[in-house]
Amino acid sequence: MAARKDQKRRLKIVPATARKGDIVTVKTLAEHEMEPGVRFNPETLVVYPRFIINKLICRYSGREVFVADWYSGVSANPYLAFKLRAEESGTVEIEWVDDYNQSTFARAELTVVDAAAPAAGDAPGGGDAPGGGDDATTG
Amino acid sequence: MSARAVAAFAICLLAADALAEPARRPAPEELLSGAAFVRPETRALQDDSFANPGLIWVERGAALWQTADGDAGMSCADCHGDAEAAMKGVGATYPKVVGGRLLNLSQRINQCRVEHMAAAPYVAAEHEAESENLLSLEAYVKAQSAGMPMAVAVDGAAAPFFERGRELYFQRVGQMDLACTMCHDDRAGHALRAEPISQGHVNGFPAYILRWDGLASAQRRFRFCNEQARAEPLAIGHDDYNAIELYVAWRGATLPIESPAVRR
Amino acid sequence: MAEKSDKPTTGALSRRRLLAGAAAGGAALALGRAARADDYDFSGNPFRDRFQTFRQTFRVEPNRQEAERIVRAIIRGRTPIPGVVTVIAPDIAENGAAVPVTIKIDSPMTADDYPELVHLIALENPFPEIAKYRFTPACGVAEVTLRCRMRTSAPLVVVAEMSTGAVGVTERFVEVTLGACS
Repeated sequence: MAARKDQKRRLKIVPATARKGDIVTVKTLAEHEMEPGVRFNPETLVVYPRFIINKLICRYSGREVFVADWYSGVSANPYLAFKLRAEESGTVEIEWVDDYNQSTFARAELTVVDAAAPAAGDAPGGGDAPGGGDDATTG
Repeated sequence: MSARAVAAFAICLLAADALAEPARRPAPEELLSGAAFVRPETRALQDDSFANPGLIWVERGAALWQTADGDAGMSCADCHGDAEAAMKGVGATYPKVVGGRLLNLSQRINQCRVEHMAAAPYVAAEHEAESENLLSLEAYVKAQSAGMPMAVAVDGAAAPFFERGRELYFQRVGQMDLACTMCHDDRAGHALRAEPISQGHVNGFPAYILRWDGLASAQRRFRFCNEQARAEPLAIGHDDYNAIELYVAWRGATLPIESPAVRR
Repeated sequence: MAEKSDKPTTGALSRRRLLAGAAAGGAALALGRAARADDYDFSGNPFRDRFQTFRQTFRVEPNRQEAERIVRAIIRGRTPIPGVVTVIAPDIAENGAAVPVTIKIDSPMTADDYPELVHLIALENPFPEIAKYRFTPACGVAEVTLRCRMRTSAPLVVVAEMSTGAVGVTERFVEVTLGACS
């Protein structure tokens, strides 16, 4: 278990550049032990108290588009992938909220080109720009 | 069935087995990485460049590589430069003899910290089995050798350690009186309860172990193996474990480094 | 006993808590809002299905009947529509700590018709509800992939509550075995 401030958050939008109306996949990964609250110390029989990320909120250009409520049945180092319809170029922000109401964030840019423009992969920005739609990591 | 009954049954079955002749190892075409013994979903997770949880540690290792630490105010990068160039192939040669001692990769990293960075060696916190930072650096360095065959030296200065490792690999330990070879050479592919026994290679380590929800080194896995045979586990970094790791790395030579792998 | 009201006084709440505690073994009732009548369902174990309180310090065993009651409570008497929900999960899980699951819901994803709330429930987990997903039409396609924990071989049940009030339910059995060294 890394110190809480060192715990990584990963976010990737596949593809990072899409045509308007296309469906993109948002992949998220958080480093967190997700202590379920059912494990116990075998010597003292004291249950390790639950401590999990209990909410994931996705905002696309500021609007909340997807929310996940998690309980202790979600695996450690929780992975979640979901879909978004590419409407306008904007920031996709993921917020992870834990049991102590502490939030961590990751942001990535989704570039949306017009339907008539070249397909995803010809983006002028390239893959190396920070937060340019590739692995945007914080923490 | 009680552990004693199981052990007695195992002993009866295996009493006729002569211990394998010393220099035996699987032929190169018979070598199978641990990835061949896991389910397709797990293999897919290992190959996923985003979702593989072990990459969290590789990322942290990359950040630590650049971070100055210790009284000398230096980072790994200050001496070694870019890890992708400097560490390419390095992870594949460990465990290795350094200054007369056989060291595994994490011990070498700690030695570097003490000698060249004037920094305290990474040690595991009380609630941890291993230091997260050390694992991260080890995973990062190992990942620079991804796809390259394991290539440890077993001659010259390493010869006595290799002999020791070989001796330990064939030594029966624990209440279950099991030697590594009995499962991983003789019974690889057979089911142990509901899991297939692998050939026991270390090319995937440090690996993300699903049962521990975290990255683990090969020697932590050795400890677990010992515990399961009801043998006394040694400390991570023990000379005997280093010797076994050297022998097992030699035994799997030509298997590509898969770190960070995903294993059970 | 105090009358049921929208905002129970501290006294009423603690008395109910004592009664509930006697039934449920002392779990804390942590509500983020005013209590309603159906929060106090004594026909089962209310604390298991609704309030997985953090800081819980007692061990809970799986209870198949409770889990099935939770699923029934979510469906709430509606007739499930088959074929709306697809659950993709392995036949045999590598390890119960990380079972990969993909949930797909067949829905037009318009402002009038989209899956408002999708539940994932494992019937043999101590806390059967694994996660809830709230989609919006902006998602384009209602699909999630996750890794969940399963205590033992059990059906995974997905209940999709659509904004129209319809509900879709699909079940998939996943085997979780005891491995070589456990």
